[in-house]
Amino acid sequence: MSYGDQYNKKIMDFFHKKTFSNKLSSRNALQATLTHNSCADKAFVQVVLGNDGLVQELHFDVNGCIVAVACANIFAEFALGKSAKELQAIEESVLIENEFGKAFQNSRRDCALLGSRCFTLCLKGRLQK
Amino acid sequence: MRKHFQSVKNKFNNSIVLFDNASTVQLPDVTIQAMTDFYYNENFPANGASYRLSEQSMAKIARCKEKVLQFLGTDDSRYQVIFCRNASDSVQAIANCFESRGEKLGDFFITNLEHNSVYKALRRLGRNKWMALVQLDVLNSSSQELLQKCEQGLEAAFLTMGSNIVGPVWDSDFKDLQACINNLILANTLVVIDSCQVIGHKKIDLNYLNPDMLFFSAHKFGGPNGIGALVVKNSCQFLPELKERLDVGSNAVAQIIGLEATIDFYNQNVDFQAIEQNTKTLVDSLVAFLKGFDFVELVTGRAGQVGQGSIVSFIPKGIPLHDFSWVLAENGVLTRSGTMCAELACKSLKIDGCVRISLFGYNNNDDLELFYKAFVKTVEFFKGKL
Repeated sequence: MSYGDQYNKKIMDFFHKKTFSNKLSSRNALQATLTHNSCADKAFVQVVLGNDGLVQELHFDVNGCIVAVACANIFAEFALGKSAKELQAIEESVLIENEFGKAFQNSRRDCALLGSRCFTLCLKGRLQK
Repeated sequence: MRKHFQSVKNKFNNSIVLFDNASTVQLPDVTIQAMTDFYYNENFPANGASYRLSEQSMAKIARCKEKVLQFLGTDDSRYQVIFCRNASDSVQAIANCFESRGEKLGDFFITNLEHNSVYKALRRLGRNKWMALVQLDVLNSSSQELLQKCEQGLEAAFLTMGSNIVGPVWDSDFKDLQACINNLILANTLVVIDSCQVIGHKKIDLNYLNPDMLFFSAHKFGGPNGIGALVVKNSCQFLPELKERLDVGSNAVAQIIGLEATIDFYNQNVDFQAIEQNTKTLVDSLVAFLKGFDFVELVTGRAGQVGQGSIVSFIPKGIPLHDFSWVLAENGVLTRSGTMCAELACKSLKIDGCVRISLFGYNNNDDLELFYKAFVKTVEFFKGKL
């Protein structure tokens, strides 16, 4: 991707989405924080699983670059309503790359996966990745 | 100074502006040549092998140690040089010396603008309950207050000479720092100085400062990557143990030869006063330019200072930091953004991160002109997107 592609309409639309911006108040919410090793961008995730084991509610708060925020929203949209088993089967980078039709450069790939990695951390023990 | 850095010119034929010098400074031609010559013509080990050519390598290492001491305004009657990989290597070794005592230690002082190389190594000691880490607030304390705080007896004090986010921590001639070191030593505190962000920008006089130890990484002032030095007072209790920890195995001879060439370069070509004046002129222009944009928040250092030393940091409000730097880079200007491996400093400054412009002696007005154009293009790019 060139730097222009990185900020195309689709990415910017996902960046601006507020669907998952409300913090969850449920006592059952699992939560995790993950910091990107090299750039110190941070993701905070909350997840509520239903009795059926499906992802019922989600909150993402990514303090980071546009790619990190946009891709966290992409992943969140995908994860909502899925079971741990379904999420386990998905390769997040493929999911995100399919969404854009192009691969991110290596340095941005880690940004793109920050949210989904935080999500995996949040469900540690329930999601065997 | 730029004429001595063909490597700067070669990088995209002068079309790239290097404003990320606090991370790594480019090498002067003589340093690259010295290392190339060594690999082509010598590359003999300095490990005590029984042949004359190895002895030559060992002699070169000894000669470089002497030059490091001279460069820092001292000699081997007071200090010794131990080569290591970088700042983190030095601090880890010192922390390990403390840990090997196997007993609870007294409090440690660090400035609240410390880099991770110091902060994280010492935090590990603290987490293991060997000691407590006490922050010295260099941002909001007056010189007098700092002096008073340094009168107390502590186990050790790690003081940075310059922050990699806001530049100077002490007054310009380091009188404050020297006085603090003096007080700490009188109170039997071991004093370690981080000179990474100052070396190559200002003359350092170790005999004047008189700490127990000082360390630097060569890549911060035009030396090769992977080599640094921990300079230790002859009377320091840890000297033998630090030698055992750091001065073992095969030496990085080529890097040491590169470091020597860099020091020779400074001795022959660099006038520190001229560098400081050039940097000040550039920094003043940068600050004036950035103040012209409402969305730019300049990061202020000690006593509200902005744009001191060789660093100007700012927050482009409303634009994610990494994206700002990324687009700026695509327009030819390399800066750094984020926390710059200085989370403690960011916390002290009450910021999540910033975009940092860091200059070196080879930066000039042409760089500023390119930066101004790239900055405007970057702002235009994000207009309407955010």
